[in-house]
Amino acid sequence: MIGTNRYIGSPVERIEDLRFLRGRGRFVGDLKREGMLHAAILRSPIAHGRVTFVDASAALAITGVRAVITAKDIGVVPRIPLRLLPLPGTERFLQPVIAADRVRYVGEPIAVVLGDSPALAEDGIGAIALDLEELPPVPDRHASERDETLLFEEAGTNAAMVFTGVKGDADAAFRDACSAPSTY
Amino acid sequence: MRVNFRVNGDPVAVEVEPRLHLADCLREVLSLTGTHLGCEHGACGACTVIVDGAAVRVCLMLAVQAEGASIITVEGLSSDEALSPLQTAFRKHHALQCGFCTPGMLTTAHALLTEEPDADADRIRSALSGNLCRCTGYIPIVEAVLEARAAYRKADKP
Repeated sequence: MIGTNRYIGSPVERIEDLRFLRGRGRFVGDLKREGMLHAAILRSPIAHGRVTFVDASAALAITGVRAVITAKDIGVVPRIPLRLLPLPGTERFLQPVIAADRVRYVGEPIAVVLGDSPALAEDGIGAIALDLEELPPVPDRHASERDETLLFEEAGTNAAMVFTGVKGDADAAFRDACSAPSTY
Repeated sequence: MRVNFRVNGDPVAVEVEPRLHLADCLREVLSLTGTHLGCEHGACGACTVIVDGAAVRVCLMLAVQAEGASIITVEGLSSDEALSPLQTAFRKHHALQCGFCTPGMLTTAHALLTEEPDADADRIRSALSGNLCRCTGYIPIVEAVLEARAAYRKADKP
């Protein structure tokens, strides 16, 4: 005998809808804690360049800016690991958490400012003195293949790895086939 | 700067920086976190509230511009006891999943149906076209707003 289930095969009203529909959901941005600080991130405006100068003293002078964190401040930390397919070779191209002497894409973090409010943290971002020496970007696989500009110089190449895929003997299969389309 | 306005019927007086936008004022100063901030540049519609009857993205409006205004946020769309007909229709039609865009959808639809209780599906789609939803695919939202029209027509009649 098959039992009945009142949840499957009929509409079920969701209990969480009641709070969402009244504006009473609690999302991460809604959380408030005593002494909570807000972070803003200074990001690279260019696709490739050398970071030649970062000075946060003017930012730190702003009342309500609590800290400015650069690559120098965090010291040696592991690079960001790959979640998918961390194959041998890719470790040479892992990205830093915060750029140190080189930026490699628009938006790469250069400094993190902590402030009493989001606005104050953003004020801190605006007060950081930053000099970048622009380098040629590597915008597509053709430029990457030429290796004229290396994003990770220590790797000596832009090619993270070379794949060769072989399965069966396609030539023999066509040769031995009873018939084969002349064009396909 | 000192600013006076009404929120969900109650008068409020707040002291704000001139640069504070109304969304942060509602969320941070008045603790009305039902109004959500998605993009903070007027593209997503999550922060929509009703200002003097009109749907407004309050990430693009300064708090000081609200002086004297009457504002309705998602928290003001229903009483504690019951969902409004629009909210009920959203629930019935599964017009929300994560709930992040929902306050903006509700306020935009409420402003529309208050003015145009006979809005057809095309008009509803047009009015909601500035509100992004990544969960539902929009079809249930339009169905919910279509169903809620009846309640707004009745509300017109004494």
